[in-house]
Amino acid sequence: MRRIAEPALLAAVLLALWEWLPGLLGLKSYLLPRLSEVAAAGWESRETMLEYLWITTGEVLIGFLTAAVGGVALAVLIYGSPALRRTLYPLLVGLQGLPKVALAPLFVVWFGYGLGSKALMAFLFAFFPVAIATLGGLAGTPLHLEEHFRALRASRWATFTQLRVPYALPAVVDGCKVAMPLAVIGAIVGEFVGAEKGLGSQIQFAASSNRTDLVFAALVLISALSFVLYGVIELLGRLVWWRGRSTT
Amino acid sequence: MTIPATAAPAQGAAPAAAAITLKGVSKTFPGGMRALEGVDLTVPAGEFVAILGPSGCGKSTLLRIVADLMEADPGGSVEVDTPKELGVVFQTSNLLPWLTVEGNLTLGARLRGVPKADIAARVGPMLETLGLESFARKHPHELSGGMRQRAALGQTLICRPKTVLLDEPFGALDALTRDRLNVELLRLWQDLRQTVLLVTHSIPEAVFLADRVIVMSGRPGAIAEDLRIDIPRPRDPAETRALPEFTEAAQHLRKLMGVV
Ligand SMILES: Nc1ncnc2c1ncn2[C@@H]1O[C@H](COP(=O)(O)OP(=O)(O)O)[C@@H](O)[C@H]1O
Ligand SMILES: [Mg+2]
Repeated sequence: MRRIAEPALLAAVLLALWEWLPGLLGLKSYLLPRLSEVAAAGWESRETMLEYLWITTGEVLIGFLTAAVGGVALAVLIYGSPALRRTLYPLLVGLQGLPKVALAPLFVVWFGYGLGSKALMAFLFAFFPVAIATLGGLAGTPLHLEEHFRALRASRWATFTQLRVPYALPAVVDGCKVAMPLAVIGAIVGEFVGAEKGLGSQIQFAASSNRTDLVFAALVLISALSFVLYGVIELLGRLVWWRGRSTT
Repeated sequence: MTIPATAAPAQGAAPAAAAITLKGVSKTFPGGMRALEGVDLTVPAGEFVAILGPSGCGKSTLLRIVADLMEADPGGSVEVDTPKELGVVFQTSNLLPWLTVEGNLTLGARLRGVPKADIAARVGPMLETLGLESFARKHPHELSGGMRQRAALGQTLICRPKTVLLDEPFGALDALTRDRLNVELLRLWQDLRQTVLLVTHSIPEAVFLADRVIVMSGRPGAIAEDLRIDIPRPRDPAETRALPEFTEAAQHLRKLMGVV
């Protein structure tokens, strides 16, 4: 109960501040609209907002899921192949330093204004955390268990599937937890640079026409989206309940 | 493990089926750390051998070499007559936290490809032997340390190895649990009579369980004493410790190891 009540109370306090503080400070509405104004604006354009939410969610999910699958797959390949570890891994680390935002205009040129370029941005933001976390999880298998599997005369494949993979799963979940909000950011960044629809593009349109209330309405929906998707991962992550359980 | 092409049969006259034969086994770790120095040891099939020695004298290293988990230095020879039917129990129970007790118990057998029907037939009796019947569906974190070690022992024994290597399997447990598990181990072994190599640093444990106690000297490890324990079997847990042979052997070993 406290786990829900306490954060809900904090949220209520913050929302109340949002409603009353701008007036008390005498802030102009177009600088910081009050909560009620934001809600009203959002309600007014609810159809567009929901459509855009749906579009952005699609971009995020496609980007995230491909990143999760691809990140895990690449990590497995790099882990399993010393040659790839020597060649691909440093490249991966190097590429991670690229400012991904700067690639967004390129993606628009290559893949147009539709879903593709946004999903690709979401993918790009989410991919590295999953790959790196998975790699760390796989490499983190305790040596005494590796030796135990050798003593049990386990094949390489069995050692991988029955020891390393279950051992790495908590780390994979952690990687996904980092990656999910990043996928949201990636999709929004993609929409900023070139999109006709989506919550990110709405922020751009609204800001350029001084509709701060609609900007905030979009921001609220984006954080709600991020919150819900993170919650889904958190719930799925509970399936990996053996995190931190001692084996000795 | 190095099994020279000219193994025992060619040379004939091999004494009554040696399960383990070590000749001039040395081990130098990268960096020059010399852990073992010219170890010669022959263990006949069905014998229970305890290895005593100060911490760091290479006992675990020796076991790893016998189990083919580590290469000895070139020059010596290591022969195990049934290398495929060899099981190891480590000091840490090494149970997988995501598997139930039953899952852990059968893991080794499954990995070795023992037929499913056979595994199914062996699990029940093994759980019973280990006193873990009511814990079959529990996970390792719900078990006491002693139960975990018993499960680890079961994981190895369910594969029915001809040779069992035990590396301080009860070393991390309290003295009472340890004594109880020793009695259980003895009971199990008296039925099965596998070849056993048990590393321990408990003198009473060694004397109580073994046919032979090997004492290793400090670094680099070498065999300093090979003592036969002539206490008849089956050994009764209560009476054995009171026998004069027991006290004598224990006293002798204590002197050797510099305890008294
Ligand atoms: N993998 C290793 N690399 C380097 N040194 C090791 C390694 N394993 C053990 N040693 C060293 O070899 C010696 C013997 O170790 P070990 O066989 O574990 O001793 P014991 O089991 O008798 O306590 C110790 O000094 C230890 O530090
Ligand atoms: Mg040791």
